[in-house]
Amino acid sequence: MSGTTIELGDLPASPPTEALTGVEIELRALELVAHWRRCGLTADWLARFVAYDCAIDSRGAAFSVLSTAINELLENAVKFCNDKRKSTRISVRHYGEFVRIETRNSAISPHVGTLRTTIEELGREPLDALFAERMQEKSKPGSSGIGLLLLKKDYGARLSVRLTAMDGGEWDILVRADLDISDVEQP
Amino acid sequence: MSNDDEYTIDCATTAGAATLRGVLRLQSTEAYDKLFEPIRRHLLVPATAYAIDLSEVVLMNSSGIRALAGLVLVAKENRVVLTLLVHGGIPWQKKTIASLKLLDGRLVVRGR
Repeated sequence: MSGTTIELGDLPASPPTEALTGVEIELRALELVAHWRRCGLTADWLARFVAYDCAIDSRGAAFSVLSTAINELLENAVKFCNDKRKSTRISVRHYGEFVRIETRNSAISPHVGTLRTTIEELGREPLDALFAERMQEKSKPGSSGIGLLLLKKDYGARLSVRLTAMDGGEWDILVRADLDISDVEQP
Repeated sequence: MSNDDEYTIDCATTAGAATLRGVLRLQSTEAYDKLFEPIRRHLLVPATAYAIDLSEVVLMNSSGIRALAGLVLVAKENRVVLTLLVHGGIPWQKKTIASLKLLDGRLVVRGR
C-alpha cells in the first residue's frame, strides 16, 4: 500500500517552466490551531504579495479573491492534518494566465476518504444542487467540503488532489487549486 | 453587541436588523452559531421581517457562509422575511451570497 498514489479532480493547467512570482511557506499545524487567525494572517500576506503582480486597479479584488482561496485551502490542510506537530506547506505561484495554490499535509484514512468523496462529487454533481444539499445537512465539523465547493462553484477553481500512501496508515495529501487570472482580477 | 478586534456584530442599534462588520474567519460553524445566536433568536419570531447588513464584512470563510445558510433556513422555517444587505464590490459577497437564495426563494438580497 505504501507508495500508492491516487490523482483525482480536474486536469490541472499546464504551467510554464517558471512562475512570475512564487512563495512557499512551511508551518506547523499546531501553531495555527493554537491561534486560528494565523490562517487568515498567512492567507492575507500571501495574497497581498502575489497581488502586486496585478494592475493597480485590480489589486484590491485580487487580494480579496486570493486571500479567500488561500485561507480555505490552508484551513482545510490544518483541520485534516492528523499530527498537528508535523509541517503543513502552502505555496502560491503566479504563472501569468493563472495562479496556482497548493497545500501539502499528512492525514489518516477517514479524512482521506472524505476528501476523496468530496472531489469526486465536485466532478460529478451539479454544483448549485450540491451547494443547497450541503447547506441543509447537519453540520459535520471539518468534513463538509463547503470551502472546496465554493472555490469551484463561485471562483471557477480547477481542483485536484494527489494522495500518496505512506507508512503507518498515513497519507501525504496535496491539494491544488488553479484560478484563472481573469477570475482573480475581475471577480 | 459582540466586539472583537477583527469584527463587530451589532443587534441592538437598529430595530429589526443586525449589522456585521470586519473580517469573519472563525474556526468552525459551531463557533459562528454561538456568535450568531442573538440573530437566530430574532428569526424565531414567526411571520416577521429581519435584515442582516453584511455590506461591511470584507472577508468571510466557508464556515461563516454555512452559518449564514443556517440563519436563512431558520428564517424560512419561521416564515420570517429575511433581507441580506450586501456590497457588490466585495468579491465574496458578489460571488456567493446569491446562492443562498437556493435555500429560500423568499430571501431578499439587496445592495447598498
